[in-house]
Amino acid sequence: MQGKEELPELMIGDRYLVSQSRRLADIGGCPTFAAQNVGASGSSCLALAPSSPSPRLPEILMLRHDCLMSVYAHEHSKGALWVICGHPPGPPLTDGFPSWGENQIIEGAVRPLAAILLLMQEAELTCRAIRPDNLFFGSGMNKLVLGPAGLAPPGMHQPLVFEPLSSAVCHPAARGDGTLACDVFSMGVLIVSLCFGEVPLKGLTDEQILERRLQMGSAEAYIGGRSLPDGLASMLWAMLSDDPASRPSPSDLFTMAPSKLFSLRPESPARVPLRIGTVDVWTPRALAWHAARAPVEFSSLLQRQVIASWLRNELKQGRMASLIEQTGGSFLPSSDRKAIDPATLAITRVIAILDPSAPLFWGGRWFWPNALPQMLAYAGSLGDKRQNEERDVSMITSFIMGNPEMFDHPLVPEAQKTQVMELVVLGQRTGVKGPDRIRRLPYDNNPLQVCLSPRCIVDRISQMSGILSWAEQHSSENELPVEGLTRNGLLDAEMRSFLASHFARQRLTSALEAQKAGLPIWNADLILLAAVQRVAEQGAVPAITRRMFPLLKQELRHWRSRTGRAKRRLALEDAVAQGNLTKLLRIAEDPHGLRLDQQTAQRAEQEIARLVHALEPDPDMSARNKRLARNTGEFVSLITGIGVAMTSVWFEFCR
Amino acid sequence: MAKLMRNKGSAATLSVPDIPAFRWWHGIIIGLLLAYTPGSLLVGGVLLLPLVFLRLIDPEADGQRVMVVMFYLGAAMVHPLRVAWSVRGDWATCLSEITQPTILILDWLALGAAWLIAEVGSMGARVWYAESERQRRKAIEARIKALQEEWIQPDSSED
Repeated sequence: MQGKEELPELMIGDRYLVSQSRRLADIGGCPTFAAQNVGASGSSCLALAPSSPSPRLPEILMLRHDCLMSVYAHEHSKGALWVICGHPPGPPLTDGFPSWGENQIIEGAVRPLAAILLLMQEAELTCRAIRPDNLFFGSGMNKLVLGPAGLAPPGMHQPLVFEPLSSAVCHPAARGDGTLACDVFSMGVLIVSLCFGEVPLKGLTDEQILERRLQMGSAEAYIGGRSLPDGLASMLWAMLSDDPASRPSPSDLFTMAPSKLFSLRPESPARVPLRIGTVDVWTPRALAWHAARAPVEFSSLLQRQVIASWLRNELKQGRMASLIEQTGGSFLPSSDRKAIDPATLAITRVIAILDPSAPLFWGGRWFWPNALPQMLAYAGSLGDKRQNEERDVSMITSFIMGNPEMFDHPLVPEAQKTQVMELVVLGQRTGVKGPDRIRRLPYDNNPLQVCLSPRCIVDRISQMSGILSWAEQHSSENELPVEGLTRNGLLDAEMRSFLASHFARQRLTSALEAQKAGLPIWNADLILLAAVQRVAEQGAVPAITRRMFPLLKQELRHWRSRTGRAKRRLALEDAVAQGNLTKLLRIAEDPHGLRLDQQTAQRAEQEIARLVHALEPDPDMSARNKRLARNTGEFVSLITGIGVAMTSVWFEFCR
Repeated sequence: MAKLMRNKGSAATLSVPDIPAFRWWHGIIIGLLLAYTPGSLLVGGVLLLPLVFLRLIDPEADGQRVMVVMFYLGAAMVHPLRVAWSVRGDWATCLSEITQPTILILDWLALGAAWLIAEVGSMGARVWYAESERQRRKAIEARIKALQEEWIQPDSSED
């Protein structure tokens, strides 16, 4: 999104004209603009500007269903992704829930959504966007249509009510991909809302909703006391179960009939609550949540064996209690890992025992390990507040990636273990160490992740060529003073990580060597950008070449030969005019030529030394010359003498 | 030839310059000549006096120089010696020969000519050597300057 005055209209894919000044209500969690198909039809459509689409967006956009808003095109413009789709067929559900009967709900909501979830199940995808503002009335107002999926991070824009507890406790960015069971839960909440004509627990704060759901169970909290249509009640109780395994599968829902019954293992709360801090806790799940909120009180209860006996006596959870008793001892400071506070680790482990479906609790926050790249991306998009958040999330990520064995423990739930291992593999594949590894994670995880540099995040650049265009537009002296250019280079660390990830994806690692080779930073940046220009077949970038010319001219100092320098300077001027970075670099940075130049220079120095030595006055020289001159004189004299003698003899005897 | 001369020259500087090494057979030859042709010996001896003079006044006169001078003196001696030969060493004739001022002047001029030509030649050679050395230095200096300009000095016009 450029400044509106600056760029009011944008052409996408040679067909769609986007009016960036006409912003409409967000669709699919993305800023939405009015657009027009300037092709044959001239019809109006929508242009969506996703900032953090799903890594598997192309697959998701391939899904086709009558009740899923389809996408006409997705194209990059200046490196930013634009998704073009039609207008929703009707108003969103947020405008008001319809008063549908039981059959209408099954035909208009359960079946279509279950069919979409089945499609996703086949493709091993999740939707995570079933919420009123992403559901629209279809034509005829008798069925619901789901907005385009995959355009926002999973669960990011879901209201807390619509998320199962396993992700509701997390920050929206930390909810992770989730599973289809999560989608089934969201669908259950939607259907309850359709039955009641309003969203359950309306008017309560998120904190109150969570508290109530944890204490009573989500289903009880949402439905408790109100009447549901008979045919839907058993299905909804199952869908809203807090145990993912108890929820029906999409195929169960697709074949749904009013008479269908779903069995559910009831979870009974404790007879006597456990008091932690000032709160009474009735369920193990609520205890896990409060353990995270009041770790000091929880630790004290844990050490006094109160928790184990409460579980055993009041909840008849003997197995859970003995597991906690067993593990309690192993978390005492006997561990050789000094870096980890044993109490923190104990809380994490005990939470995993109390609620195996809960996300990971670590470093004071709830999250799913596979959401860490998304959390880093979210932290990067926070603007002024990004530093603290980025530091915390980076520390957590680097700890998890550095200590995967900590999570390879029988008590760590399988889902978390798998996600940690996937994260570790993702990090190890880059072969990068230190903060760069963390910085690259969002880009390695998601090829469509926009560059998180604070300088270009508004431009939503998710293609390498976009960085080059951005640099071309933002390389003036005003934006990048000379000292800044020589000290910090053309790009920043985020942009470099972004490009590094994209190069690695295309197996073009040679461009990345420059970063490690100890070149000046602006020079390494230039090598990266030149590679981008080559790979993306981007046109000329005269602004960058003009800007870099003085610096590259300085580089020519390393050449010893004066004529060589002059020749290269002329060639540089030529390349600057052409805006060709590769050519520019080939002239200024030619290691082979430079080595040859140095060798010739050395030979020239040796020759100079030899010549200077030859110029030094030779002490024997004058004596030698004198003798030589005398010999020459005598030789001349001798020859003349012989001539005279012969003439004399001739005169005497032959005349 | 020059090499040969140089060798000879260096050998001459090593030998004792003023006193020629007389051997026993030198005495026999001179004795026989004194006995049979004292006139011719007188002519030869008087005409060779400039050589003795040269050895006395010129400390640098080595064997090489003597040989050169011998050619000139020889040229001046051809006529008097032939006359002495033709009169079979007649003492009076030989005496008149060596008292003829023309012959004596020619003989001494021959020595002068030999010396002068050698000195002028050596002077010319010295001038020539000096000139060629100057040319060589000029060429080397020009080459050093060119190399330094190309490889050593940073040029101020560039930046």
